[in-house]
Amino acid sequence: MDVKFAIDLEHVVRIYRRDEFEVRALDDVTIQVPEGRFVAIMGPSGSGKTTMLNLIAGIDHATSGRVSVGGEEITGMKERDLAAWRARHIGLIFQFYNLIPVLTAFENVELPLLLTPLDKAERREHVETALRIVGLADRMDHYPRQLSGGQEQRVAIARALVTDPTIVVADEPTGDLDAKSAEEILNLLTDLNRQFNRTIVMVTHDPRAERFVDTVYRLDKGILVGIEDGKGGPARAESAQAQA
Amino acid sequence: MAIPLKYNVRSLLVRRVSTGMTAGGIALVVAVFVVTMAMVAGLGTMISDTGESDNMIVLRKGATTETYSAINLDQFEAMKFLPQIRRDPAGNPMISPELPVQVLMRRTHGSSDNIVVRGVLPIALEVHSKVHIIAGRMFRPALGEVTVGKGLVGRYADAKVGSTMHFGRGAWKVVGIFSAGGSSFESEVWADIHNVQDDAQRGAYYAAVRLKMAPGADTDALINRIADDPRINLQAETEPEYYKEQAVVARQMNWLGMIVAIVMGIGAVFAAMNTMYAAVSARTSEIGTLRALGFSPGSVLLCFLIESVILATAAGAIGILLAMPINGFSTTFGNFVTFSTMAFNFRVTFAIMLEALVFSALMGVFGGWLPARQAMRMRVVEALRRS
Ligand SMILES: Nc1ncnc2c1ncn2[C@@H]1O[C@H](COP(=O)(O)OP(=O)(O)OP(=O)(O)O)[C@@H](O)[C@H]1O
Ligand SMILES: [Mg+2]
Repeated sequence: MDVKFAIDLEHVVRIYRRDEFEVRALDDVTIQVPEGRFVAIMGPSGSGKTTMLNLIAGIDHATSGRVSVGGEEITGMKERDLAAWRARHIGLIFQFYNLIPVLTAFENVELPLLLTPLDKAERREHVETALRIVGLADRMDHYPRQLSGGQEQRVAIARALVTDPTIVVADEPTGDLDAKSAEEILNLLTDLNRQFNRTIVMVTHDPRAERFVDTVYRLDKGILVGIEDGKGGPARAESAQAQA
Repeated sequence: MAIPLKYNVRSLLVRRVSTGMTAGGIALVVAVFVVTMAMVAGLGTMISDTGESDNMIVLRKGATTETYSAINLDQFEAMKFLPQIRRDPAGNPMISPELPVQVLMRRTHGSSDNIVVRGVLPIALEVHSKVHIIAGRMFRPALGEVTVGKGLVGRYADAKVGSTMHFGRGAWKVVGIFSAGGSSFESEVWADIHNVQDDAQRGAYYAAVRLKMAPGADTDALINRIADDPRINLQAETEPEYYKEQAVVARQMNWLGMIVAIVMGIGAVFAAMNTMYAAVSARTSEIGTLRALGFSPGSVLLCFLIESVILATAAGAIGILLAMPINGFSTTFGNFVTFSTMAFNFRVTFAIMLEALVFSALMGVFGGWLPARQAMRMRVVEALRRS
C-alpha cells in the first residue's frame, strides 16, 4: 500500500516577480517526508528555505507543482479555506517568536484555540498542558516583554502545539537565541518529535541542529541539492527522494 | 470565533499618545454636537411648551406671527361671547386681547437686545394657565406698571421688583415676576394693554387674541365661525399648531447643527483614519501572525474595524461628559422670526446622548474602514517578512 506522507511536494516551483525581475525562489523541488520525522531544511541565505517552509505551511502559493500535507492537497485552495486548514493542521514557530505583545503567555497560547469549537474550560486545560510541556506553567500571566528570548520561543512552541497539529513548521527557531537557549529549544523539539510522534520541519542555519534531526534537505539557489541523514535518528532518508 | 477584544483595547492603550490625540479630537467634535443638539432641543421645548392645547390664537387672515397681525375692537367684540369660549367662575369669557411690541432693552453688561413687551389685560393670567406670579404681584391697569418674565431677571439690570424700566416713551415700574413653565413668555415683559397702545401711538388695536376653549367645545366649528362670520373674519388655530410652525427656527438650527457636526466629523474621521493606518502599519507582523495562525481575512478586517469603533465610541462618551455641564444652562437666543430675544435652557436629552454615540461609532466605522481593508488584504508571507 501507499505510504502516507506527512509532506509531499511534487515539482514545486515558486517564482517571485518584482517589476522586471523574476526570482526562482524554489525550482522544481520534489520531496516526501513520512509521518513522525524531524527534518531540517538547510542552505545559504536566499536559497529558498523560508519559501519552501511557507509552501508547506500553506501561507504561500506555489507557482506550479503540487503540495500535499497530511494527505490533503492544498494547492489551489481558496484563502478562506486555507486559513481554516492552517488552524487545524499547522503549528507555526518563527525566528522572532511572533508573540502578540499585548497578550499574556496564556492568551498567546490560547489564540489558535479560539478557532476551534473548544469551550473556555477546555481551552484553559489545553493551554495549561501546552505551557507545562514547554516548562512555563509558572509564567502564564507574563507578557512577552517580561520573558527571555528562550522563554518567548517556548511560549511560541506551546502555541504551535496547543491545537495538536498534523505538522509543526519552524523557521530558524534558534536563530535569535544564545547557544544555551538554542540547545534547550532543540531538545524540546526533539522531545516533541519522539514523545508525541509529531512531524517537525525546521529551517535552520545552525550546524548543531544536524545532531538532532533525522534528515537534512539542502537547498541552493532554489534547487534541492542534497538529502542527508541527520545524526539524530536512524537513517530513514531512503523514503524521501529527490528528483532533480 | 473572532480575534478577542482585549487585543484591540490593549493595543489602543499601548499606543497611548496617538490614541489619546485622536480620541481628544473626536471627543471635541462630539461635545460640539451635543451642545448644538442640546440647544436645539432646549429651543424646541421652549417654543412648543409655550402652547396650551385648549388655547387658541386668533390673528388677521394670512398672518403667520403676532408681529404681522392686527385686530380691531369691533372684531374682538364680535368674538368675545362666542359659546365655545370658556367662562371663568365670575362668568367672564376667558379671552385675552394682546399687543406684543418690540422694545430695545439694555443688558446688565453692555449691549442691548430687542425684547417683547406684551400688552395684556389681567384676564391674560387666566387664559395662559402656565403663567404664575412668583414674586410681587400682577400689574394694575393704567398705572404704567409691568410684570416681568423670570427669564429676564439677572439678564437686564432693571428686571427686578421695585426697579423702574425705561423703554418706549415712558418709565415703567416693575411690580412682579412671573414664571411660565419655561416657555418663551418668560422672556417677555407684560404691561397693561392700554398703556402699551398709548405708548405706541398707533391707536386702539390688538395684534392677537388668545382664548381658552370651553371643555368639549367643537374646535373646527369655532375656527370656521371666526373665519366665516363677516363681523369677525379672522383666522384661528390652536396654540400647539401655531407654535409648531414657530418651531421652524429650531428645525433650521437643527439642520445647521447637523451640517456643522458632519463637517467637523469628516475632520475627525481623517484623524481616526490616520491613527488606524499607523496602527495597521506598526502591527503588520502581528497581522501576518494572526493570519498565519488561521484567522481569516474577514476576521482581521473586523478586528481593526472594531478597534476603530471602540476608539471612536469611547472618545464619544468622553465628549458627552465634556458637554454635560451645559445641561440646564440658560441662555438667550435671538428669534429670527420675531426678532426678539428669548431665554431658554440647553437640554441634553437621553436621545441626544444616544445620537452622539451613534455619531461617534459612525466616525469609527468610516475612519477604520480603509485601514482595516488594507490589513485584510495583506498577503501573509509579505506581512511576516516585516518582522
Ligand atoms: N515576497 C518576495 N518577493 C520577492 N522576492 C522574494 C520574496 N520572498 C522571497 N524572495 C526571494 O526569494 C529568494 C528565497 O528567499 P527565502 O526567504 O526563501 O530565502 P531563505 O533561504 O529563507 O533565506 P534566509 O536564510 O536569509 O532566511 C530570495 O532571493 C528572496 O530575495
Ligand atoms: Mg528565511
